[in-house]
Amino acid sequence: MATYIIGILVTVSLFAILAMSLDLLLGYTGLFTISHAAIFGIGAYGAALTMQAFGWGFLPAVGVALGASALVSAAISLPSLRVSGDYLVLASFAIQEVFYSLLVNLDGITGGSAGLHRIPQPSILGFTLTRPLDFLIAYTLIAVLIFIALSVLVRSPFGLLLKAIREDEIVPQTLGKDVVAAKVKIFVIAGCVAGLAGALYGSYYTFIDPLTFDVHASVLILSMVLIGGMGTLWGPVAGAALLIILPELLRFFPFPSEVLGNLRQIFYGLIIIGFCFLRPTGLVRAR
Amino acid sequence: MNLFLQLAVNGIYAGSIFALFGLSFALIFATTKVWHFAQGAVYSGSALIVVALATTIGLLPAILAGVVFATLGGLGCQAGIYGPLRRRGASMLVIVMASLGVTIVGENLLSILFGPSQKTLLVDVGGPIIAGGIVISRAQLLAPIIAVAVVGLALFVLYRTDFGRKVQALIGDEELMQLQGIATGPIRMACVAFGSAILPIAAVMLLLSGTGVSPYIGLPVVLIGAMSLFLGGINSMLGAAIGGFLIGFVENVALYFIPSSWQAAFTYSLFLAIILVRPTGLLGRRLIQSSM
Repeated sequence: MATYIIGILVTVSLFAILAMSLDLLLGYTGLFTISHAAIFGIGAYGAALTMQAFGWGFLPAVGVALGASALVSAAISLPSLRVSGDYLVLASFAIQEVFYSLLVNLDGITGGSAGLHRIPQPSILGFTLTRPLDFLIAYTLIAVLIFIALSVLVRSPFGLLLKAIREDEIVPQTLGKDVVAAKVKIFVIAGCVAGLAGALYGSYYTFIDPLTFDVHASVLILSMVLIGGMGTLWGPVAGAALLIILPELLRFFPFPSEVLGNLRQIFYGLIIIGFCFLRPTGLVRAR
Repeated sequence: MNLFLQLAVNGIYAGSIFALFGLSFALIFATTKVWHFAQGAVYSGSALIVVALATTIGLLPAILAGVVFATLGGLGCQAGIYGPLRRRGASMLVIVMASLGVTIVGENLLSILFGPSQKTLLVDVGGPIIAGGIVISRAQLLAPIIAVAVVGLALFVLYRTDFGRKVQALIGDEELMQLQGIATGPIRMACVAFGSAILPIAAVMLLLSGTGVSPYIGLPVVLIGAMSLFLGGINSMLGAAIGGFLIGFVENVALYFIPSSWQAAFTYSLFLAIILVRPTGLLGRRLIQSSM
């Protein structure tokens, strides 16, 4: 039971990191993308492959993962620089599907649908994380550090510029601000953070497969941000906790096991719809 | 050469079906301005109903049942979710999330009702026609005719009737219409109903050639529909149909050069490249204001 609870809390910390990084785009800058799971996946596959194929250590592998996800994230920003939000929704959706298709088809590299197994556990300065509690402490600490770093970021002049872009791009432009550079920058930062979550995810579960990073995962991360409260950092954390823990509770009701997965999903869908109607601003309201 | 012609025949077939996906998405998107992701669940639901009923009550009544389901599903989303949310002043983002929520609930309800596995339509429509070494199935013969008829009907209504002019006005400037005292709600509902009703028809065209349907195949249909619209040029119904046709045709002819497992990645990448170079689409005139 303790291991089960610790496992859920580790998942919450990983998704809190993911949701915070997506909120930089969605809540703070007003950029709706449906490809965050792909960035998450680049980080996970990037780190795992670096460790498995080149035999590199955990830290260099994380470095590779961050670089790769930052690069892809910057590529996703391209449509948002030229055209309106609707195009970004569509382009990021298409990129998400391309990524999924690559994961399945490049089976010589990614292991195809079977995924990658036996990913090394995180090892830093000779200390390897193996026990569930170690993971919980380390990953929670990382999530807290990211929270602090991002709260400094969003309060900085750069953070204010992002909010100005969200409200009306024309205004910061007329003030001589480089809106394009700001958008690319925030995509790179969000990509790095999501990629880190990917690297941490792979080394925790020691197994990754394409389904973890499909469009439904992107929707899950989006709903965490929306339910928690966009344009805040506490919001995505609360949203991640709520959407990971609440569906788990269904496990304790006597539903037939063959529909349990479906019921959990239905429950999660109803939570989303309910929030849209009853509390569209999310749990935590932006000030 | 034969292989190329065969792929072209397959391409015309897929293109005819994708043209209907494009028209369906375009009609709903242009009149509601909503990213109607739940269309995916409406699509797979209506297709599953056709498959389930075809063996007991016959194919045509089953298609009718599918059309009724899709129409009610589409109207339900608009009247029960998008409309009320809009009246509450919800942002576009919230409405999109609600649509994704409906998709998740819908897909999983369908999985409980029909089972999660792929289902195929067990109806004999007659063997294929073989001409000069090229195999043309009955479905492949039927699909272009149906597509031209449906798109033709939609365009006729849109450009040659009083109702169609109201639809065009609604797409162009809803507020102006409301100022003139025209109720835009019923016009929008009619477009949602028609856009939803053509989904099961497209689905049947696919099912007749033995393609399977499962509760989870809907989102790619939405993606194809959306790509068709943006490729053809936003707010252009003809553009969306042509865009859809091109996607289906190119993605099949491309099999001459690439293995079929790469089809999806190829199509989406090509689309991304085109939209980066020419964001207004092939027939588009101007960029619309961002709605989100």
